[in-house]
Amino acid sequence: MKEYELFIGPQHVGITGNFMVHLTLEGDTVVSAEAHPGYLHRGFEKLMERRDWSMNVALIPRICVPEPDVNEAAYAMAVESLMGWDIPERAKYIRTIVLELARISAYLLAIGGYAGTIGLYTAPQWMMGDRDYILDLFEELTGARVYHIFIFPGGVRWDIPDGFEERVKKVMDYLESRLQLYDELLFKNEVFFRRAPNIGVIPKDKAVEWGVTGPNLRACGYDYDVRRLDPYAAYEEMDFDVISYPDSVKGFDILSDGCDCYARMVVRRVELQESIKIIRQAVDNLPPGEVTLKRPNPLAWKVPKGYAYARVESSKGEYGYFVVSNGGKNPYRVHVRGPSYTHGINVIETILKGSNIADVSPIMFSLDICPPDIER
Amino acid sequence: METFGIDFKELPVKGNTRKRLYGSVELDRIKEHIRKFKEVGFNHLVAISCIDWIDDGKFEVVYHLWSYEELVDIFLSVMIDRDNPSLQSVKELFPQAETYEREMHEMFGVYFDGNDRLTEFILEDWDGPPPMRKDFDTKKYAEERFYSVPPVGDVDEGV
Amino acid sequence: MSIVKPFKALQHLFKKPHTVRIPYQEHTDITGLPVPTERYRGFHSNDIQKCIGCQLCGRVCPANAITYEKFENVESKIKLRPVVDYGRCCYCGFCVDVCPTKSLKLTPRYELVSPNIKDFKFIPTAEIAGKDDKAISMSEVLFSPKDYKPSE
Repeated sequence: MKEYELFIGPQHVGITGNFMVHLTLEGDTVVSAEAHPGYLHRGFEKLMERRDWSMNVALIPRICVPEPDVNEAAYAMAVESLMGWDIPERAKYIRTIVLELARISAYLLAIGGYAGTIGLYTAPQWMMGDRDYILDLFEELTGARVYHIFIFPGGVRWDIPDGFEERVKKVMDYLESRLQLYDELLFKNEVFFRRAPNIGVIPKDKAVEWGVTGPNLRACGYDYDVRRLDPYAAYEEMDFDVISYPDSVKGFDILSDGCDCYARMVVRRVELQESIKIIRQAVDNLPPGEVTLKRPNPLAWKVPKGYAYARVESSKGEYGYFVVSNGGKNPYRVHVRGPSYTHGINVIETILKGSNIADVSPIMFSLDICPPDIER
Repeated sequence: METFGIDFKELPVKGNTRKRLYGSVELDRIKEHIRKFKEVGFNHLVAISCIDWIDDGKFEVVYHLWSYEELVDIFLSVMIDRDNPSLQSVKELFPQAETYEREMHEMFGVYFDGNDRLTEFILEDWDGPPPMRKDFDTKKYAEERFYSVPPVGDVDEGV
Repeated sequence: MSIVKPFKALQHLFKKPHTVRIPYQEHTDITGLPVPTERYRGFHSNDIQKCIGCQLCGRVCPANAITYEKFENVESKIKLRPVVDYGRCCYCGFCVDVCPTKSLKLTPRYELVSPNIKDFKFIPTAEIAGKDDKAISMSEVLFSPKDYKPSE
């Protein structure tokens, strides 16, 4: 048979963002695939070298659009390592609450996006509507809905307002009552059982070597989570489970051996419940005290010489910032390590060989590729 | 923990909890050191970064590895010459290193021997010098190349 | 069994819709609190008599959005007052944190519609902070120091 080429281009409903995949097909089967990033390059690493250490905090959330708080937390932890600062306890608990709320809203976007590719368009509409209540909570705490600019080196910017704890609990009760509806609509649906298992399989013994991290690695059977292996903020005092397939998913049928689309989606669904548990514990046990150390003068702040690396568990994988300083007022070099850098280019080009053309979009959405952090 | 003869020093850590070790390696032994560390358990390549020290006339390439059993980070750093930078590729050990090397070739101008896919990656139709080097001035480049828009207040009435 | 259950979603056809029709309905969150709250970061408001013209807000701004103009009937030693360009401002709030007399604030008003590009660069005054209306009108802002009349 003859081969033909197809460009699934930068403006397409089946791609998560602005990204292009160049496929070579023979009939209905994919022979080879090539990924072309580069439509969202804004030059952040060069921009950060011309601005002060405190001006950069206004620039950094704009790197990752669905979940901007992980950028602020990683940059703040790297700068605190170089300065040698220990932040107060209340600031650690408030950072935990903000990071877990951002994780829930990013999971709702990911699960809704996957459901849209297999043809169920009701699920994305419901999940975007529920995510709106979380954005209202952010607006009450930080002052903005999407780009918060709230976590600063030395602590957080302001304290929580009055009555915030009851509102958080009400939103968590509402979300738990909706989880049963999502199960009946998507996770126990016959179409999902036919279309998800054994699609997009990553070989289990090569997953760590290929650079797969986050929920995708936990779906292969390894229970590696940065919140347990390299703890930060207040996670050492929280009681939660690390979810891996097939050992810890209870209440869901085991239909395959792992590392496929079915396992990745079920792991995200069960981790939603663990995040709700963590937020409830953090809100009940908030310690009293101050929320920030005394901030230095932003116009004359010099950071001592050295290298530092800080990592955070985002909803897509391991997010890291490598900061190099030579004693001046501007950073000398900042390297941002996004989780989709390895998922989006090398893993996709290897997995898509031999699959059907109707499975290209579900595989890309189940790996949760975010193009802004490939080419920041 | 095995160190294979490298002198490691500890980096400061606040926020996260585990140790981070930093050591320098000579240019002709870097690939065999990475292979030895990979066999001992450091099988997760986190990132490869490049730093431009323009006052010393050198590039510094840092290989960052993490081990899930021993829970330690190591940073292996190599200094190469700035006028003719070239290194051996580690593509056979870690397949994802191909992407990091493509980006470093495009942004800094470093040549990797053994990687045959050093084509254009992020920038399209770029004909200037490698942009992340310290002697590339972005403001001057933008003023010479692009049609400038006058600031608000100098335009005529209307849209 | 799992083929029939998704049809339960049809019962949502007869419930109240999730959409809020602004401005006919009021926009509240899940407990009834009206949003946006008072912490929302919108346009600036500045008290011209309290400001001392120290120019720290312009030096700290990450987007270079603040410039200065000279005023006549003010009492401070430096007679410059800030002019904000809202095409560049990113609403981060660093200028509010650094102001030594606390005269510069961010208000929850955010609507401004105009076909003229020059309307988006104005001098914020203290009148902007007191109103509940989300939209700014051109009679509340200053465009040049000659229009300034000190009130009693």
